[in-house]
Formats: sequence, structure tokens, C-alpha cells
Amino acid sequence: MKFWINGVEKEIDALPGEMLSDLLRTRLGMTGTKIGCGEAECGACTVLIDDAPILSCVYPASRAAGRRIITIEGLAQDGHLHPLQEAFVQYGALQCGFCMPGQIMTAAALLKKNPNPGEMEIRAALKDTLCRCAGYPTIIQAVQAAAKTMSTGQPIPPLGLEESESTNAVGHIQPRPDSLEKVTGAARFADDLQFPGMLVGRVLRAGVPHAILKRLDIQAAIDSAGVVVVLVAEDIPGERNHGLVIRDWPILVGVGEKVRYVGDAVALIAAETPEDAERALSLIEMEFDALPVVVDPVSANEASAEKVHDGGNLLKHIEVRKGDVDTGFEGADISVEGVFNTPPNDHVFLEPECSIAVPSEDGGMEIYVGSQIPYADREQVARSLGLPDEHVRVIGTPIGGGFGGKEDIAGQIHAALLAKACDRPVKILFNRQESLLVHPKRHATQIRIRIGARQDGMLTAVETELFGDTGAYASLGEKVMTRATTHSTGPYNIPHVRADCFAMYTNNPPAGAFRGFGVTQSCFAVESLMDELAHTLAIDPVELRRKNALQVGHVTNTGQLLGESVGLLECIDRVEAELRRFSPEDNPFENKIVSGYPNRRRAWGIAAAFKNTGLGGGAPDKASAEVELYLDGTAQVRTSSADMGQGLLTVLQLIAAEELTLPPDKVRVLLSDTGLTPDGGPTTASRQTYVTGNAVRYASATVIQAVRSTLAERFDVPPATIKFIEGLAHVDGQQIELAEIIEIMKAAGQEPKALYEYWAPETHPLGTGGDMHFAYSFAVQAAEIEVDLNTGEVQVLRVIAANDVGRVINPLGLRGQIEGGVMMGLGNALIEEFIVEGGYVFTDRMARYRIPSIVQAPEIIPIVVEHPTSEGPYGAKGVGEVSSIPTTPAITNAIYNACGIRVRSLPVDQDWLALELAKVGGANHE
Amino acid sequence: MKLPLPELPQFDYIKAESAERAIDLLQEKGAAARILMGGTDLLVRMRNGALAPTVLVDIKNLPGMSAISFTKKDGLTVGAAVTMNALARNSDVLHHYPLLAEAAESVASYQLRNRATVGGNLCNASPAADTAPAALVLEAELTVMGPKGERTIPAMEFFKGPGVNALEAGEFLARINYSNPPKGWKGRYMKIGRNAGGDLAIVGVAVMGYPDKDAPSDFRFRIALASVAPTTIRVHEAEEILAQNPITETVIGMAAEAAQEAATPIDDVRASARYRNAMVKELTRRGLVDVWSSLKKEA
Repeated sequence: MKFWINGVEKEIDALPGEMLSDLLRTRLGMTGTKIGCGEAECGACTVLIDDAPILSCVYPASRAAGRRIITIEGLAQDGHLHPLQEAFVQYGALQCGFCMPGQIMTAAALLKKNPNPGEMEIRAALKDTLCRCAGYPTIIQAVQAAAKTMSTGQPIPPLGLEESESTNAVGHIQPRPDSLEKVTGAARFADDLQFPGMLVGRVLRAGVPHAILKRLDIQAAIDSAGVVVVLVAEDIPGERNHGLVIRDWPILVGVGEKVRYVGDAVALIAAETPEDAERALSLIEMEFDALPVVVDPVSANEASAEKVHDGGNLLKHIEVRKGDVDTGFEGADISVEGVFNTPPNDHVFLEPECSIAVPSEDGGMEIYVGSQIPYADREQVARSLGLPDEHVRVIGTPIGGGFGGKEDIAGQIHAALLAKACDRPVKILFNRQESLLVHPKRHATQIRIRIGARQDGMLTAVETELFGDTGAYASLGEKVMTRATTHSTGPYNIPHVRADCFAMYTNNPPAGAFRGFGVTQSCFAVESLMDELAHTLAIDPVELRRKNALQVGHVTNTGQLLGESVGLLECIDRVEAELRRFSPEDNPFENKIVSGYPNRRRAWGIAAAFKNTGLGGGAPDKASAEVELYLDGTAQVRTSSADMGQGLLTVLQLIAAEELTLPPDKVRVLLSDTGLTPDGGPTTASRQTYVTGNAVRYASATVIQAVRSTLAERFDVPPATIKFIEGLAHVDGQQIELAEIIEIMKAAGQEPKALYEYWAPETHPLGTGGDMHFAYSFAVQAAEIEVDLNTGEVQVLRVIAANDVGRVINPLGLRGQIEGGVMMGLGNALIEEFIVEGGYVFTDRMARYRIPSIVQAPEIIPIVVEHPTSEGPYGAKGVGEVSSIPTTPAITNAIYNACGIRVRSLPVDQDWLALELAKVGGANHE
Repeated sequence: MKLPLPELPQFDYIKAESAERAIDLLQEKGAAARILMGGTDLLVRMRNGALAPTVLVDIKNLPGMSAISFTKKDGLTVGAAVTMNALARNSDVLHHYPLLAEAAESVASYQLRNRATVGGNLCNASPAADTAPAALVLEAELTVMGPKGERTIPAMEFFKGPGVNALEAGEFLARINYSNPPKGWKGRYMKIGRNAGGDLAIVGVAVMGYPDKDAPSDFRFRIALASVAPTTIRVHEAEEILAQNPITETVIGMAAEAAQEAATPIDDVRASARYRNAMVKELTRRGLVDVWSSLKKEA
């Protein structure tokens, strides 16, 4: 058949059953079009057919005959970006970039039909084109800016974000350095890579939640056409388990061994084609002896519970003690208590996991993967292969969203085992369903909390008890639940605290890191109950929080004296001022009837949060970075830390540019390659800006220092008189270019580069007192919502989000983190629930696990608060997580204010809410 | 464990060059053949293993399949392969059948509406099909082609059960005729999904009303429901209440309750039966209030 792609005529016949997305990606090598779900839910695969946007994952390739197809690769014309691409770059409307083809192609189709779309029209058009980084407000702005440019011919109008005046690079608007590749479809994610002779790897999953594997017959699969190798547990040359903290997760479950969740791997297949692998997979026979299934953390803790692991079901009992809670409650005039439940959640990063293992000539292994912790991948892969770490090289590909979900091993080890066995490259790509089944989730929790207070609102004691469901394997469960526990009493100064947490193994899919790291759950509980306390005491909810807010000089519940950088009060004040702007006359927390809709009520709600920056708890927290100057006048920054869309590339670029006095465009950043970049540590715990940022800052300063002393010696001037301005050294009245400097250094036997290993300030384990963390970020959010009293529908209208970030490094990235954080919090509050029934996953596809879309995006009003840390780069601390944490309770508190129903279980189900409203007579049905 | 979303099974794609050829193929291959319209539902269901046809017969290009025509005499005729976006944007549809445009616009996403067809939506016979209630209240007639030539099936007789329609072996839906509705009619499609925005209908309600001097109330209404019974349904009991009694808030409430009683929803992950029941009443009431106020405005 004949068709046109981006104006080029093609003559190629469709294969039986081939979808257009396969034809484009696999046979034409046009990998700009992405596959996020394969089930017509996410929109990432959108292309234009005769100018109409369609989902190429469900468009039979044979239908393309005679048609004109435009893909993301064909949108730029004659070397000029389409105004949409330009606007997305300039406004920072892309983060991880995986959804870009979907957003931009759909928007392009809209602008063709409607050159001047209003906000509602943009929302309607992009409704199911999902962005998990969720910079939806910025996407709307970018589409409008592009529309304006297309109709007026004027350049894209500037965004108008505030920029730093005291620094040259840091704090300035700088588009992501990988923007161009990501808006043109040139960026190569792992699944976009092809290697000669590459095989398809697939994993057979147990499909039962708790059982002994009795029999496994792989013979038919071995004999099946196109199969190169089938591997079982006995074939693993090295260690048989993996795990980030505790190695309790079997790489493959062997015969006679135990399956602990439905996603456990039993056998691996490498085959020539996906069809061959699929067929062989279905030929493997498994037999199990079923065991009783442990379904929740509370029952897991009962004496009679079936044991998931030999050591029992308790992963960790975590205790926080401060003062004496009995004394505290005796001194209280009033106490309130509640039990709150949160479900597991999935990250739904739009790029499903993909690992490619390529055997190297020296007997080692290269792994191409989008991973948050390349060095941990390297260690775990090497152990399983029985190789020294140095024989494995992990090469990071762009990460299409992570949010904590790409810290554990996914397909890395399996791909490596297959590649080693076949001596050929092997790719393991999860489809969306495998992604949902296999990787660790957000911990489901049950949290009981009791707060004691005096009549004037001063807190006297808080007691909490948490049960956390860490699922079948430990992953980061202990750390997550520790964070949940230490943050379970909120960002408040409380004299007496007792908190106990039981992190339990069950037969549910494992739970691990997810943006918020346990604090998302405990913040919902404590902030809901704080609101209840405010109502009980008839104190304004803002005032109650202000009275108890942590300040410099206070001691946290873990015994840490806060010495600096506690911007909570300012966050409270700034949010309150903004609330007054929206609600100058009335109490924003009292409900109002929505004019024209007698059944709707509107109200604001508020919540506060804090979140540690960095690993803390006594864990050594360090990052290494290398900075090198080049003859072409550029510098390169190298560290293994990962950019998963959060903006680390730009952060490091700006920090190096600041220190090296170079324009940011002259700084290149190479991340995530264990062969080329030193260990930046795990990309987790909102630690990159602070820890890796400091490594880059000091490495850059070390380079400059070396340059300074070389020049001082060469020109015989005091080092202090040498000035660096825009990449030029000013020495004794002359200007020396970078290239010349490098030559001078090389002649003096010096390399123009420096490696710096930065150690963050020491922290102490929980229970030992002292500093458990070296910094905390603070946030306050207010949400305005509307409840329909008859249907239980909740719409979030506005969110005011104040974040104390220490110091803004990357304003565009910060805005993206705030918008995305709010949207993820909104999903957590109203939409998302990973449903597991008796150990079996119900939400095994995107049609069943819904995430927020652009139609649910409220107006987001970001407020930046800067209480600098003394040690963080330029005063910065983390923001990736705290930006998301208070959103959920701000929304649920607003629901209470609007209609009097207190949410104790997430997500807020409209069905449940309508029933509760009917009970109190709020609705006119039943 | 077999993953529910395996690779798409292989199939033969045949673009039928004539209606006769399509009919022959359907007869010859039996259950192994399926008509391919937009494919937005079929291909997803094939991928998750719910359906496994080996031959897909594309009939989108047959004459008239993508045509929309309107005459005063015959009303609106819509080819089965007309997409939701084409329907929702057609000026005759917007002018004469805004209810139909509203229903089509409520389906899925922008991209899917460029592929999803009216015929596919009806033939899938999903209880949640958004354009089916409109077909019921507009009393559409469905023209099918088959081995015995053409025949016409009233929309009221087309939906037989979840996923089951009135087509016989070898037949396919060619076009839908929405005859000219009674003069002065008004209509609304009210839909509730999860979390204000996405998703399939938890409940859908189409309401239309028109002046009729022969009715004791001087008006007649038609009401149809989606997602609350094994098929989309008309609720004659409610319609009768509105024909027999002067239209007041109380009578509207009674009709809404009658609609609620006619519904036989089930619990599923999207909503409980209890909630669906309550929403039938709520949306029917809202739809009636809306339509009634438009009718009054014109009267």
C-alpha cells in the first residue's frame, strides 16, 4: 500500500494484525510516537491522519493506505519548530516528555480546526491525553500562546515568572536542555532503541498470590518456534534474590519455593519476535499448592496469620517517643480521635518499564534502562550474574516519569540473565498491565490518631498508630513507613508524642517508594484530625495551625532541634493572604450555595505539611559529580543521578553555570551512566537539588579554583585578583578565553576537571535524638472545591500552594513540580485506587486505574517561600514531594466545610459521598 | 498467568469493495469474522482477549456509509460509519438534532471520537452506549443489509441484551434514519461518569419533549436510560405520567421516580446499584426540568 508520512511517500504493506503505531515504531524506526498503554486510554500514541488526531495504537496499519500521516517528527517545518513545540519548550510545559507527542499532536489538530481556542475547548480536546507529570495549567498556557503566535506572527510571549536578581544563572528561566529532542520526537527512551540481533524477553508471572510452586514444565516452550532460551531459577549463575534494602525478592521462584504475590516471576523466555515469545509463554505449565492469602496489614499482625516470610509478617515496628503522652493528655482540655485509611496507589509513569541488556565483548553486560538508581541496578544485576560490579555498566535512558516507581529492579536482571544465556541483546518491555501488576505501589495504610489540646488550641499530646502494607517484599517499606511515622504528628510543635507503626508483609503487590514516601498518607490523617479539632474548639483552622506550627528553636517529635530554614509560618501567612484576596468579605471555610446551582456547595479547605530532604536517619548521604571544561568553550557535568522529568538536568546546568560563570547553554549535563558518571546516589527523597546539586557546585568551584591558581602562577598575579565573567577570565587587564585556559592548564600538567564527593550533613538514626534529617521543606495548601449534594461529585476549582523551598534554583522546573504535585494529590484524594482483591489485582489496566486528566485540573496558584538552608546550594532544599503532600487533606477538609461530611477513607468516592449526604438529608433522593 | 493484555492476535484485514462481498464474507466466516468500523472498541477487546475474530471486514468505504443527509421529509439519515466527531459537528445535526450532537460529543476522547462510529456504538449494544438513548427517544430506524437484501429495524427492537443486537447472520448495519421529530421538540442527554470528567457513563439519560394537544398535559415526553439495565431502555411509565398530568415539579418528580423504578442496575466497580438508581432519578429530573423550561420558553 501507498501512503504519506510527514509528506514523504511510502510504499509498504501492512502485516496481519499490525497497528499503525507498530508500523511507525518498529518497521519505520519512527519512535517519536509513544506507547503508554496500548489500550486507547492515554493518548501518547496520537498521530494525525488527514489532519484528524487518532490513536495509532488502535488504528490498523492497513487503513493508512492512501492517507496522509503526520507524526511528531514531521511537525517542525524547514528546520523551524512548530509554534506549539516552541511554546512547550519556552513555558516548560514538558517534564519527562513521554506524553509530548500526544499533547502536541492533539493540540496541533485542535488549532487547525480552531485557531483561537478558549480554555474550555483546550481542556475538551486534551481530555484523555494524559500527562502524569501533570503540568496541565502550563500546557493550557502553552497552547494558547502558540495559538496567539500562529494568528499574529509574533514570537511566543514571555512567561513572566519571577527570576533571581542576585545570581547570573541560578534562579533564572531556563528550558530543559533536552526540550528540543522531547518536543520533536527525537528523544530515545529505552524502548526506542534497537540493537542488531536483539531478542524479545518475556517473563512468566505466577498469577497466584500465595503458593508453593509444585511443578514447572518448560519443555514445550523450549521446543516452540523462535524460542532461543527459557530460563528458570536454577539457571541463575549468581545470587537468587534482589532487593534495595533487604534481599528478600526472588529473581525467579523455583520449584518447591514460595510465590508471595501474583507478579512473582517463574520463568524467562527470549525469542525472536513478540509473537514467538507470547506463544511460548502460554506453553509453560505451572502447578501450585495454594496457601492462605494474607490480604491486609492489620490481620497480618495477628498471631494466627499465615506467614508470608519465614521470619514472620512484621517487617518493622517503628517507634517515635517524645515526652510522656499520658501526661500530655492529662494536661489537655479536649481530645479528638479518628481512624483513617488510604489505599495502595500506582505511579502510572507514562513510560512503562523497559530494560535492554547487551552483552559486551569482554564478557560483561550493558544495561540500557530508565532507572532512578543506576548504581543499585548495577550492583543487583552483577550479583545475579555472578560478576564483579565493574563488569556491568548501566546506561541511563531518558525516564518517562518515575515518582519513586523506578527505584526497584523491574526487568534489568531478567534481561541480563537472558542476554547472558543467549549472548545476544535482549529487550524486556513491560506492557501497561505487567507494569501495574509488578512494580511496588504506594503503601496502603490504616492510621489511628488522637490529638490532645488545650482550650486555646495549643497541642499537648499526639498519639498515632499506623499499619502499613508493604506487600510481598520489603522494597523500601521500612524507610517509607518510618517517614510516615515520624511525620505522623504533622509539622507541629508538640510536647508529648507517641507513635507506633507496624510495617507488615502481606500477599499484595509490594509497596515501596512513591512521591511523598509515606508522608502523603500520614498527612491526610493528621491534617484531617487537626481540622476536626479546629471545628470542635471553634478556632479558625489557619489560626490553629499557626499557633502550633514548627518554628526555628522548636524540637521535632524525633528530638531534632530545628536551627534554620523553617518557613512554615510564612507559608501559612501567604496562603491566608491569598485566601483573603479570593474571599475578602466571607469566611472562606464556610460553605456557599453556588449561584444558579441550588444543589451545589462551595468552600475552601486548608492543610499543612512537611517533608524531609535527603535520606536521613543516619544513612550516609553523599553524591559525587565531575565537572570538566572543554576547548570549545563548554563544560560538562557528570553524575549518575537521574532526571525523571523533575528537572535535575536544568538544576545542575544552572548550578554549574553559576559557579563556572558560563552561560547555561554552554553547560552540558550527562547523567545516569555507571561507566561515565560518578555515583550521585539514589534519585529519591527530594535529595537531588541539595545533595547532587552541592556535589556539582563544589566540583565546579574546584575546577575554577584550579584555573585560578594556574592563571595566578602563569601571570604572576594574586589569585584573588582574577575575575571570571561570562566564561572569560579577566587577568591583569586581559581577557582569556576558556580554550586558552585549558591549554595553559594542560601545559602545566593539569586536567581542567574535578571530581567532588559531597557528603551531606550527618544525621542520626530514629530513637537516638539529634538531627534525623539535615533539612525539611514545608508547604501549606488551600483548596476550593464544589460538591454536588445530589450526586456526590466533587470538583476542585482552585488550589493555592505555598512551598518553602529554601531557594529557587530552576523556576520553570519548580512550577512543574508544584502543578504536578497538586494534580497527583488531587488524584490521591478523588480518583486513584489500586484495587487488590484476595491478592489478585483488579486494576490491571489503565481503563481501570484512572489518573487525573486536564479536565480535572484546577486553577493552581503557586507561592514560593524561601527560607534558605545554610548548607544547601544557594540555600535550596527539596520540593518534589512536599508539593504534593498537603493537597489531599486540603481537598477533603474543603469537602467537610462544603457539606459536613468528614472523609476518613481515600479516595473520596462520589457514590459513598452521595450516600452520606443522603443520610444527613443533604440530598433530595431516597 | 496469561496477561490480559497480550500482543494483539493476528487477523486478516479485508476491505470489502461491495456490500455483497461483505455479506458473503460474514456468511462464509461466521463467528470468525467481525465488521470493523472505527475499531476503537473492537481492537481493545481483541487485545485484552475478550474477542478473537480472525477476519476483520472493513465496510467504512461502502457507498453512503459515511454520509449524513437531511431533508424536511425524511429527516436525518446517518451512515453507520459516520464518526462521533463528524456527527457532533454536522450543521444539520446541530440545528435539528442537538440532542444527538450532545450525546455524540459525550463519548470518550477527541481522538477516539474521530474513529468511533455511530454504527459501532449502536451495534456493540453496550448498556452504556451514549448514542443509544438518543436513538430510542428519537425513535430511529436502523437499516441493515444482509443476504435477503435490506430491512429496517426500529431502534426499540434493536438492543437484545448486553452486547447482543438484532442483526442476523450475514447482516450489517448500513444507516440510521432519525425521522423528523415532532414540531417544537427539545431534548437533552444527561450523563454522569466518575469524578466529573472521564470515563464511561455510570448513568445516561436522554429526555425529549414536545407539545401535543392530544395529550392531557398538552405535552409528551420520551425518556431513555443507559447503564442501568441489560440494554438501554425507554421508560414508558414515566412518559405516561408526564402525558397524563399537568407538568409541575411534583409530576416531574413522580416521573423521575418512575424512571428510577424501571431501572435494574447492577453493582460494578464504577458504581453501586444503589447509586445508579439514585442517579437515574436525579438525572431524569434534571433532564426534564431542562427540557420543560425550554418548552415553556417557546410556548
